[in-house]
Amino acid sequence: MNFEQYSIISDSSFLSYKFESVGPKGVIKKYVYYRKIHMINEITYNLSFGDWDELTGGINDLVISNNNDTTKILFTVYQTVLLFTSHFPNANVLIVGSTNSRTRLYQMAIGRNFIEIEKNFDIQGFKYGSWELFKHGINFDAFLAKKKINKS
Amino acid sequence: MPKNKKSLKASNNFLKTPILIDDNMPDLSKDPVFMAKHEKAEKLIAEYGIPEAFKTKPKKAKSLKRKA
Repeated sequence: MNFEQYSIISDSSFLSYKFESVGPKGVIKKYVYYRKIHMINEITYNLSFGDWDELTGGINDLVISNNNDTTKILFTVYQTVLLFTSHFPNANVLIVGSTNSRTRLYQMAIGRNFIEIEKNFDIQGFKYGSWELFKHGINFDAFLAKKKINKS
Repeated sequence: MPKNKKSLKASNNFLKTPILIDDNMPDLSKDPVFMAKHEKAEKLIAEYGIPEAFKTKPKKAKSLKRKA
């Protein structure tokens, strides 16, 4: 997996990341946030990702920016997952798309790069009210990633 | 480079370029779109939990027995 990526800016907590998508629609600010889900004994963070909306001064996770750089954006988001889990190695990362089509986009991106992703993470998908190992050909509703512990 | 930004030269060797640090990011915990999405995620985990395989294994209690 060797795609182009955008330069990432993080805050010093490594919970917030931003980068700029550059394409025919101009420069679009993208934000990725990891927020802790309160659970007893478990550390799970929800990954939120969206465009910065200058009008509302907040995140818009429904907009389709059509900046012809989907692969580059998804690879950059994946880099934030690598960065985040390098600082929070025991954390589970929950990924849920803001719409069904966006969840499907994440599914396809994971599926296409699964051999590489699997080297770093265990991935489970959520479907019909339960979690199961990620498999190709199943439309999951959510994904959970956990960094593999390097025992070497 | 702005004063509040610094280059991170940590051992993030998977990154092609060093990342910058900026501690003036907006506080998304006040963003309604973000929080609505987060609450949905919390509900999913509260209702269905996480996979068994992802649960933290409890550490084995150290034996109090001393070697004779």
